[in-house]
Parts: sequence; C-alpha cells; structure tokens
Amino acid sequence: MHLVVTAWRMLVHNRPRLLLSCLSIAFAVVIMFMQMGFFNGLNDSQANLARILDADLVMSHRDKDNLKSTEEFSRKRWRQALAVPGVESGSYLYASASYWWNPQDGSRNRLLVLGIDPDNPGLRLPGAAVSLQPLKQPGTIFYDRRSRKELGNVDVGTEATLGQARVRVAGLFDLGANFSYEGHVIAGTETFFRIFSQRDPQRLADRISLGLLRLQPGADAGKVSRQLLDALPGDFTVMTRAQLEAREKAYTTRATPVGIIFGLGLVVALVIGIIICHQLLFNEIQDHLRQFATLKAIGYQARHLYLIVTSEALLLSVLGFLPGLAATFALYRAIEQLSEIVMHLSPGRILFILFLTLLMGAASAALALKQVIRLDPADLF
Amino acid sequence: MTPPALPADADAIIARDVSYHFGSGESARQVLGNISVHIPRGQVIIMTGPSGSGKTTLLTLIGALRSLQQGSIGFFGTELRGLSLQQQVEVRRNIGFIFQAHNLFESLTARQNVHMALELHNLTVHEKQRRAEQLLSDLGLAQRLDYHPGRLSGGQRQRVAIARALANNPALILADEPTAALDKDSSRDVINLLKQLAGEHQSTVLIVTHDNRIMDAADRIINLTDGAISSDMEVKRTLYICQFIKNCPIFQGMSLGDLTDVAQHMELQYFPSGTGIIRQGDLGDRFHLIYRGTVSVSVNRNGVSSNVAELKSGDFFGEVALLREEPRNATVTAITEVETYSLSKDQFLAALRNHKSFEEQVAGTLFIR
Repeated sequence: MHLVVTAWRMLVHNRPRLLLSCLSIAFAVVIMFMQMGFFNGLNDSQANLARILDADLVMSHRDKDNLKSTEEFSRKRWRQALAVPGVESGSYLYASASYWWNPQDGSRNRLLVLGIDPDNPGLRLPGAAVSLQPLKQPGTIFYDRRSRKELGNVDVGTEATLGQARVRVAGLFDLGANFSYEGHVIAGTETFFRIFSQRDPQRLADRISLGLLRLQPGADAGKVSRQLLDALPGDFTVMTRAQLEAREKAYTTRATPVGIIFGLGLVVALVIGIIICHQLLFNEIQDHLRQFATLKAIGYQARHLYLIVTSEALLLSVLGFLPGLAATFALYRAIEQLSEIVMHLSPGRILFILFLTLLMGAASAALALKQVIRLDPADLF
Repeated sequence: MTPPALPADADAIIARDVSYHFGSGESARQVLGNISVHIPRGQVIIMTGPSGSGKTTLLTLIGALRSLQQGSIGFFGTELRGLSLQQQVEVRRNIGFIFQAHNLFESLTARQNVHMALELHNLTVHEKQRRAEQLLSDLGLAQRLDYHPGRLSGGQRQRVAIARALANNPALILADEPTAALDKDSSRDVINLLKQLAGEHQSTVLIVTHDNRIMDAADRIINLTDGAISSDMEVKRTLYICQFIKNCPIFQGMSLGDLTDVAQHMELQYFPSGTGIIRQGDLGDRFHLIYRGTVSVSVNRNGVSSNVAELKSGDFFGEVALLREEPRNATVTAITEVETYSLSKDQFLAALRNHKSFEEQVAGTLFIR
C-alpha cells in the first residue's frame, strides 16, 4: 500500500508536469471516445427505426436485410399471421423513400416515409406518448425534427411538397437522420397513398414493409415464430424486436467498412495512448534512476519498484481519463449539433473506455518493466 | 528489529583472496587481485586510493551488490560467494548504504524518505513513525521532519540520507564518498554524526573516500592501489607513533608518508615490570618507542653500573646500535609494566635507506649523540 502512496506522491510532486501528463492522457482518451462515438453513432442511427416499433415479433420480406431497404411483402401474409396461435394483435407499416422539397429554398432531399394506420400505429415514438390521431386527416404528416437541416426549417403547420402530394406538418417526433436518408416522416395510410399516387394503387395498398405482431401474455416468441414460418408460405421472415435491433446495429458494421475503420481508429488511439503514457513513465523512471537503484540496494525487489511504476501509470490513466471524459461530453454535444449523428454516452460505454485507458496504463507499465529490472544498484557507485 | 539475526560472535567482514575482473576473455581487466582483509565489528574504516584502484568494486562486493568471481567474503558469518540474487537482497537488508549523491526522493519529505527504508521491515506504523523521528532528531533535523529535500541544505540532505541508511539498524554501513558534495563544516558534522550513531548502534562502518578532511575520523585506513591493498593501518596507533618518531633525529625531515610507512611496521611489545629490554653488550636487533610505562637506562663502566636516564612514554631508544652495527652500549630495564612499539633492524635500515639523505642523517645523528 505504501508503494501506491509513494507513487501518488511522486506524481503530484511536480504539478506542472502532472498537468501536462494528464492532458496528454486526456488527449488519447478523447480520441478513443471519438472513435467509439462515431462507430456507435453510425450503428445507433442505423438502428433507430427498430427501436420505435411496438411489436414482439416483426415480419418482413425474406430478403430484407435492413429496415432502410425497400423490399416489401403482401399484407395478406400479415393478416394470416394474426390467426396463428399466440398472436394477440398486430399492426402493419408501409415504408418507402420519397423526395421532400425544402419549403424555404425548394431544394430536394430523399427521406423515408412511414405509412401507418393512425388507429393502430404500431409505433412507440420516443418522448411523450404522442397521439398519432391527427394523421387521420389526409394530407398531414408528422415530421422528424432531427432530420437534416437541409430539409429546411420545419415546424408544426409548415406546408411542403412530399412526393406527389402537398402535405402539412401536424406534429413532430424525434428519430434522427442516418446515412441512407436525410430524414423521416410519418403519414397515415391515406396520405401515404397520396404521396406515392404515381404507383399502382392496388399494389401500393398490398405491399407492406413490416408486419408488427404483439403476442398474448406468456406466449413464447420462438415457438410462435416457428409456427408462423411453418404455417405460412415462405416469402417472409420473422424475428423478435431484440433480434431485429441487434441486426440493425450490426448491419452497418457488416455491410460497410465503418466497423473496421473506427475499430482500427480505436486501436490506433489506444496505441497512441500507450506510447504517450510510456513516454511519461520512461521520463519518470529516468528521473528517479538513482532513487530506484537506492531502493534496490537497500533490499527492495524489482517487483516492488514495478508496483510503484504501475501505480503511477494507473493513477495517471485515471487522472487523465477524467478531463478526457469531460472534454468528450462537450465534443459529443458539439458533434450532435453539427452533424445530427447520435453521439450517445451510456455508462457501459464510459466504463469500456475507462477499461481501455487502464489497459493503456498497464501496457505502458509493462513496456517499462525491462527498464526497472535492468536497474543495477552497483551502478550507483 | 534487525532482519535475520546475525551471529553475535562472527567478525563483520573476512575477505580472503578476492579477485575481480570486468569483461571476459581477451578484454578482461582485473580490478582486484587477491585482496584479503579482516574487519572486526564496530570499526570505522576508511578505504582510500586513486580512482581505478578497485576500492568501489570491493565496496560493492562486500555490499552484496555484485557476485563474487574468485575468493570469498564472510559477511557476519555468511559466505557471500555463490549467493542467489534473492539471497543477496536479503543480505543487503542488513546494510545501510550512503552514496555520494543523497539519492533522496524529491517528492517525499525527510520523514517519508526514511520511511522507505523502514517499510521492508515488520514494524507497526507507530514504530516506524517514532523511529524515523528519533533518527532525524538525532541527526539534528527535528525541525525539518516534513521538509522536502529541495528545501534542505546539502548537509541536511546528506543527514537525511544517513538517517535512511541507519533506519533499519544495519550491522554494516557502506558509504561511498559521503562528503564529496559537502563543505568542510558539513563534512565534519556528517562524519561525526555517522561515527557517533554507528557507535551507539554498534555498526561497522566502511567509507570509501578521497576526502582528507575526514581521514582522522577513521579507526583504520586501508589504501588500495591497482587492485591490491598497499597499506592498512590503525589510525590512532599510527598517529601516536608518527608524532613521536618525527622528533627522533634519524627520522627528521622524513615525509609524513615515509613516517607512516615506518609506523606501520612497528609492532606492539609488552614487558612486565623488571624485565630487561636491552642488555649492554648484546647485538642490537630492535628499535623501540615507549607507548606506556617507564624504563631505566643504565651503563656498566668497568664493573660499576650507574643509572644514566629514565625514559617515559613517547621516548625512544635502541637506534645507535642498529646504525653502527655495534653491541648495545647500555642496559634498558622496565621499571613499570611497559609496552613499546618496536621496529626490527631490517625494517629500520630499510626505512632509512629509502630516505634520500640517509648518509647525512646517520652522520647527523652520530654527531648529536
């Protein structure tokens, strides 16, 4: 214990140096947080749609591998599914991409239009329990206020052109843009059909994007899924909401190199951190060579000295982590403001970076091990 | 409180035929050759010699900081030859090290620096506190317990380092140029305190130094030259002898170094009261300096013996017969118990031969007598 205390005293003795060391470590910590933030931000943005579905099981086209793609299947299949034992109720969701004309400057952007039955929406919008009843009025939409700024300055009452229709914003919700679409709107089925009135009305009404099923209390999701697949023709697939969300999160990592890019970025940040921390430790040992050798002379062993050095590394890591975390909060806010990418810091993610930071300290201490072992008290003379 | 108890009867250090090389094969360089030295407990020894003489190497061997290559060193009864690194560490816990630089942690206070040496020993926090405070107070640092080294003077820092070295009651204190960075007064202070505390704790002290200012603090001075012991003398005895024989006309004008050489070859002899030390007519074989007691000088002329003088401690006799290669011209008898430092005839003449103005001195002496 006294060795840890000694390490602490050695660290805090030289305040300017400690400050500089902490800032160096904080720098590495911030880089790690940024890499993780971007990575999670992409995945979270991609998975945002899955999170608002009010369903225990989700049916979709067999080949649909993410919720932003446009494969559709027949609403008949969904209606058949409602009859399968264990299923209590269900909703369906239309979804299709369309163009939105910016009400201010007339520029055009792609967004995803979700079509719902306002009486049975199957969506749980984040924030307040927003009633979707206003959507019963044809020509109204709910607008995702976290859509990109390029879509214009939109509020309740704003009118704009969406696809083939003129629509009015009747309400707002929070979802967030992603890499496929600049924004989202929700429309009642009636309005949805108007927006896509260029398409064949029969087909438009039949092809749904998702079938949302709610199970009876106590029903086993796995068993019901199997029954669904057995009982109905195999042109669809079904998964639980949790499975869907996991798939959505993994989709970006799987389908694009962002996982590799940011994963590598994280590793690089970690390595930078190890190098910085090792440099700090190296100097610390170099400045205390005679003291350490003296301790060795009077009967301390390499492991004692190593404990001092490791304690210094870990204390330094924690001391650097704190300002790094503070800076991260500020930077995340700024990035969300600027890019509308969700930069979410959960306790788990903070702990993960803290763990990496401690790992960084431990690794840099391990690199200094040789320096400590090589210390020969006979050289003091 | 001293770690593994050391046998009470063993001598501090007994080195036998210690040789040491740096490098190996063709490039091997011998720094110590067949050093044998015996250090009893409680002595304060100064080891001196030119740089490269191997004194520091010997210090590190005795301190179990290097492994022995040849020869043996008994450390309070423990053989150092062939110890594992772990065992060396354990031996070192009985040693207090003092270095040329104080090697204190700048980030720790005086008290905390002393603590570092106490942590390896099983003491309660309270005991450690008390011991550190006691030592620092003994060294005159009671008002500086919580000062960092940066706020202490050079002498004070070295005293903290001494406190650290003494912390675990070491059986042996090894000091390497402990006064090199200090001014004259601080040097004296530091060395006197070291001596005093070592005395109180019955520690043996071995100091490697070039510093002439502290030579008189030693009980014994060992001089190393080219990896061999070139002289080994007990300081008090040598000082005593030199002080008196320099008054002897034969040795007048001799350099202190030559006098020291002579002193080193003198042996202590004991004579009970009434013993004849020299008898008139015998062949002269020794020169004597009286260390303790009184002798009478009597001359026998034509069967009549008459006392011509009484000699006391500090007086000397017996040189004339050696110089003239003649029989003794007087009888010297111990009146009390007498101890003399005496020099054999061969040593006596050898010493004089080395002296430049030998012939003059002989003539001068004979003229005066």
